[in-house]
Amino acid sequence: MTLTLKRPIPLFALAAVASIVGGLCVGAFPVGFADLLSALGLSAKPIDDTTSMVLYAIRAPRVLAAFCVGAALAAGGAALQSLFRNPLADPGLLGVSSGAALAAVSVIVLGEKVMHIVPPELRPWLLPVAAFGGGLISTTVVYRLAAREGITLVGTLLLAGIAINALTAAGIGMLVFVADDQQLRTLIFWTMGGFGGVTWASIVPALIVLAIAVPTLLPVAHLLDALALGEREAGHVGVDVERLKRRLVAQVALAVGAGVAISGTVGFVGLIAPHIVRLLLGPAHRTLLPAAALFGGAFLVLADALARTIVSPAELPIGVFTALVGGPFFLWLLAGRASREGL
Amino acid sequence: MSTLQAQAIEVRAGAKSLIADVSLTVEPGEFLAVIGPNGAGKSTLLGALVGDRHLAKGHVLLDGKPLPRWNKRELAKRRAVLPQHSNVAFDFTGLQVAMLGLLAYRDRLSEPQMRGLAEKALGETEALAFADRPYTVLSGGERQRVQLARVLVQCDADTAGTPFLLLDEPIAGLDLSHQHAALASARRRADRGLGVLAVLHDLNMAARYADRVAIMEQGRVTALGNSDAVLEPARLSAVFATPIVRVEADGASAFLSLGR
Repeated sequence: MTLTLKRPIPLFALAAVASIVGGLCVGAFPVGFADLLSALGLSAKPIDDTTSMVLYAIRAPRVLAAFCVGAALAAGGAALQSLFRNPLADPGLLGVSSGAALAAVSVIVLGEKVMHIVPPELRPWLLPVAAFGGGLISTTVVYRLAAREGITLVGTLLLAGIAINALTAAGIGMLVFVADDQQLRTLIFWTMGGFGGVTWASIVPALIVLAIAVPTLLPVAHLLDALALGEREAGHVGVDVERLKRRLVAQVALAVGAGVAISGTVGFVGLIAPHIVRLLLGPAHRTLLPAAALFGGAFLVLADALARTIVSPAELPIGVFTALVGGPFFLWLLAGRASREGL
Repeated sequence: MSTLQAQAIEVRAGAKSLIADVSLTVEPGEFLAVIGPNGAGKSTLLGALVGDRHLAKGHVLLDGKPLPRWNKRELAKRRAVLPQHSNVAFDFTGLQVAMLGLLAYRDRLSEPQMRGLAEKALGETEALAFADRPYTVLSGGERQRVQLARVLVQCDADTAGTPFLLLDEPIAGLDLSHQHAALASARRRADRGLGVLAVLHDLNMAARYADRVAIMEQGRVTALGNSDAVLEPARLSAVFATPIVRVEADGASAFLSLGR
């Protein structure tokens, strides 16, 4: 049942901060809470060099990246679900993530051939831009196929996602053949998803994209509410629906593409986070978007913390981990909807 | 003067013409009912009048300006539309759905003001009990009343303008008492100066609430005029291919169809 919380967002923000603190502290090299406080300059206690190095150079970018990617996938999922008027729309299931991943993998494998014509200062942007392009193409294809005159054909939607996922898997499979050993390692990482190789330098461009693409969904929150009435009805109450749809497709592709550029494909966050927040706070996007973003961010930070501690010093791929949670969740969602309304 | 005007419009689906050569003006202060058999093009006409349908020929003008040239938000301040079937995705409450009628006024109205207006409209359609309930769990008639409230709040928000209210089968699925309540709401808006156009199936309701009636047959308007003149038993019998008579009882008259 929907909670009647007066101010839910600060609560979600608190939970997100708690998850970030947890994410910074746990790992193969545990960091005490006191050390964390001194590292932040909140305590006078001196901090040794190793701890400081682990925190600043390794854990901080990793936790920040996990949080931002989780937030982007969750907000992107919520926006996609509004666009398709269906809670089953997820960037992973619809092939948005895998389209972005195929583009990213292409850059990894084939990028060296074009890298020399790109100015050095623009090179870190190549991956997020390609991922955005891939995400944009797959989102547009799915939307064109599954939405007819403002009505989403759910079967077509999910099947289109399956087809795109199969196509991108084939594309990635072909790239596997031409990749050398080093590229192969990176490539496997992309397809399974993970925050293992994250450094400040590698994530900054994508973080900048996310910082633009995600918060700018908030001003259209009521328009997303109106879309729930149906596209025609949304037009009747004053929404320029075509413009809104173009904007949503672009922003989802940006958010998911930048997320994929950081961490490869991490599935199901875009499905789980908005769904749980809707159950807790209701469907109004002005609370749903920020709460789902905070929830998704916290979820990935915790998932990443678990993934790197359970089998420490080795790491579970986080994509495997979220699929382990998200797969059953999706089946449960599907079973409930199928019995109620046949999808 | 403010008018909503269709000029010789034609709407096609592929090669097939759904409505053709339809000219019609909705004047402020009048209630115009559109009646006709299934498939005559009544909903298509309404879709064309609100700008949802692409016109193969002709124009629909609001205040002399073609609909496609209107800004969507300005248009929402000038006319409200009740569609035939409405599903709402996700569990929005009745109040949230009704408040969406005020989307175009968000910059002018505060949250409590919008809530107040929406609650008033829900009260008018006797749907206040559904304010906090998810729309998805409501029955068909209950949903219709919530949607009607959304549309009423949209035309009441701007008292200065002369908006138009377009209703596609507003009373389908409502019980008799709520049918009267819904049409009385529309009638009051017309008396206040709004132009109302409603697609109706019930001849008696059309006779009772409308000033003018348009009959549509096979994509064309075949009769248009004052309700008393248009709603003629002989004409209606021909249009609906079933004998229809007018009976008088207790000082009132009603149309009665006697089966095929």
